[in-house]
Amino acid sequence: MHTMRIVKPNPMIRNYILPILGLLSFSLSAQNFYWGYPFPQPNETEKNVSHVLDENILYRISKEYDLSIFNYHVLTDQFSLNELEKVKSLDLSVDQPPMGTATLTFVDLFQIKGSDFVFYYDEYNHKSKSITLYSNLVNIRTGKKSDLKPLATIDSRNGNFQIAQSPGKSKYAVLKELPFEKNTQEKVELLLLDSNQNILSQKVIEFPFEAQRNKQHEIYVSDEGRIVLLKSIREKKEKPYFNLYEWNPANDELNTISLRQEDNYQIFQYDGSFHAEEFYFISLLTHEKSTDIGMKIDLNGRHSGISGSGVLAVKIKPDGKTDYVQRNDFDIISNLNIKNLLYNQSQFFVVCDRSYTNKKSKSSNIGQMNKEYDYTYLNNGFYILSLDKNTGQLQWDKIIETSEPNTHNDNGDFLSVLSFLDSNNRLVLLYNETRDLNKGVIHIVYNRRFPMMEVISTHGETVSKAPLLAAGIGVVKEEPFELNTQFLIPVTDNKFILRASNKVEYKYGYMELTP
Amino acid sequence: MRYLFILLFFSVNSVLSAQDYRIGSFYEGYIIKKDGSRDRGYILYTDESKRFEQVTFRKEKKGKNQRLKPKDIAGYKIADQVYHSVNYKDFPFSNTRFLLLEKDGCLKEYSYKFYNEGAWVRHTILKNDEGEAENMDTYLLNFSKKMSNMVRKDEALAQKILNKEKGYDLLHYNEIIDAYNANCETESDD
Repeated sequence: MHTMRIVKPNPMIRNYILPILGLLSFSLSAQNFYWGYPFPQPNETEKNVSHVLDENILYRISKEYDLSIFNYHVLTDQFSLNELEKVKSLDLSVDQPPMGTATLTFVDLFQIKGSDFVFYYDEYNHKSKSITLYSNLVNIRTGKKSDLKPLATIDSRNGNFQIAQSPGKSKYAVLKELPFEKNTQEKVELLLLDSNQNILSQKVIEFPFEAQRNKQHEIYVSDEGRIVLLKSIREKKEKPYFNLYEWNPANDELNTISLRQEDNYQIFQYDGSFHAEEFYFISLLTHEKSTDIGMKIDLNGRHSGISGSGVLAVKIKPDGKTDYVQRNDFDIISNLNIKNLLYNQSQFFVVCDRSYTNKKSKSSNIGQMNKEYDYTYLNNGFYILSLDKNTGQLQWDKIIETSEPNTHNDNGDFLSVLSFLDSNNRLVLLYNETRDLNKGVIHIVYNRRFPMMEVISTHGETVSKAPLLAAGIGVVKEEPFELNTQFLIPVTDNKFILRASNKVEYKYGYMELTP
Repeated sequence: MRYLFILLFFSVNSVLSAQDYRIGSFYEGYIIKKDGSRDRGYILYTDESKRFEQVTFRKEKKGKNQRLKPKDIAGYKIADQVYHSVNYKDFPFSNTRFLLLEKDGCLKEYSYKFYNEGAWVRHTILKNDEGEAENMDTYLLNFSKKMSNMVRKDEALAQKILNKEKGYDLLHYNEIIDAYNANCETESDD
């Protein structure tokens, strides 16, 4: 017969060693850093910058609309993945003729595999009085482009195309945004394309309200070809609202989900995505009385200066049925901007910046072309929401207070937050904390940014928060490079590419989390 | 209260706010040793009157300065610009300098600037895969013969230049370099 004995731990172990072991088990494993070679900092203000990887190269893709040619500049920089050294730059913009401007206009681009991309363009044809959408294959490593393939037309001088790619890159959706016609019903046309840009299916959707002048749409497509259309609706004497339309070409069913709020709340920012045929849509809500004052929208369509006071979560099941439309209200928080959505098995995290872009012309001459602007970026930290994936209900929210004192024309390089989920599904945040290195009652302020890593449990508690001293950036006076909090590029589950800036140069670097 | 005024007076924010490279400051880069290996470190950013003649390199941020000349190393990189030590035919004598790599490939294009009589003068130097390098100023006379000799490994291209075909003249030397490098890359890929 066994006897049970209760052993009381030694007070030394209880008071010191166990908490330390606990902390160690909670804290993330060690991080290794390797920084590549610096390169001159390109001006990224009001440019759309993204990064993609192939086997050997990191591509930095920059898109900028140029009003003087009514077209986009599409530029790529290539960095070797071994040493993260810039090796090549390519201009993939539409070639401009010696005189005049090209009529072919860049619309969008998507990665197919590695350095193979599909580019979309539209062009107005004066003879047929129609706009045609084209696509071609572009290798962004070599710059080689295939011939243009016509995909769709709009029989008008006005009208737009929007394109979306499915998460597995097997399907594409095209939205034909038709021009306004007085006294007609509002309608759009959706096209489903396969990976070879062949049309699989198409549908004209006619809405039960009059055609609208100011159109606002967003489309999403799944790997099985289901298309979700988000549409802003502005009816006479009604507050604007959004609807979601889910079209399944397999059975030609069209489901409508109204996101209209019966009180004075409106959607001001949103994001959505398909996950294994389940569609999740998250939007921030604002009370109508808190929208107008200080509302700013930059050229990228980013809203600034709006106070959020609710989050609306929508889930559409694979059969097209709505699982939930769940609204969660919270106390008013100003300057909310969705930075990232992260999903695990049971919850999703909405990571928001609390930031505001202030843009002011340097010129006193209003008519002057090529105006120069001064930008300042205000921030008050971050707001994190955790929602139950099965119900859409708010589980917890958390405010992280930081402030960035020196943002003049730095494109907000240091004030945002980077986020990812670790192997335990905990939320990991990387952000800067500015500290004055000089001490004493009377001293000259010498600010340096400390790259912080904060790990938040699935229940919303901060498990650990510490400066990333191993990163070798910021922290000391002699180190000019500091963490650029705009981009986090996942390489594997525990390896990421980060960027650092010294305001003159950028450099990319690896951060590897080791167990 | 008076401390507060003094504090405010001294509250000068010391965070870097420069938006461009500063001459006289060290930036991260590397030198290329003669065996082709790289030594990573910090390189002094100098003005254009100096960067073609010598480079000041530190292995560590606060290490000892090394002044290196083109005969000492194969090249260096700073601020996304690669300089190679090249011995090239010039007029009237050969020269060895750090030249700025403008176009990489089997046929490399370099540039070199110097200040002369109140103005900057830019020279273009070509170096082929045989290791021959020449200042393009010498191509002004007899371009077809000299350029075709430079790209002689691509016989078809060399013949077009010799025949003075349209688009294969001095005004189109950039396209000639691209064509040579494109064929050369294709061959090497195979």
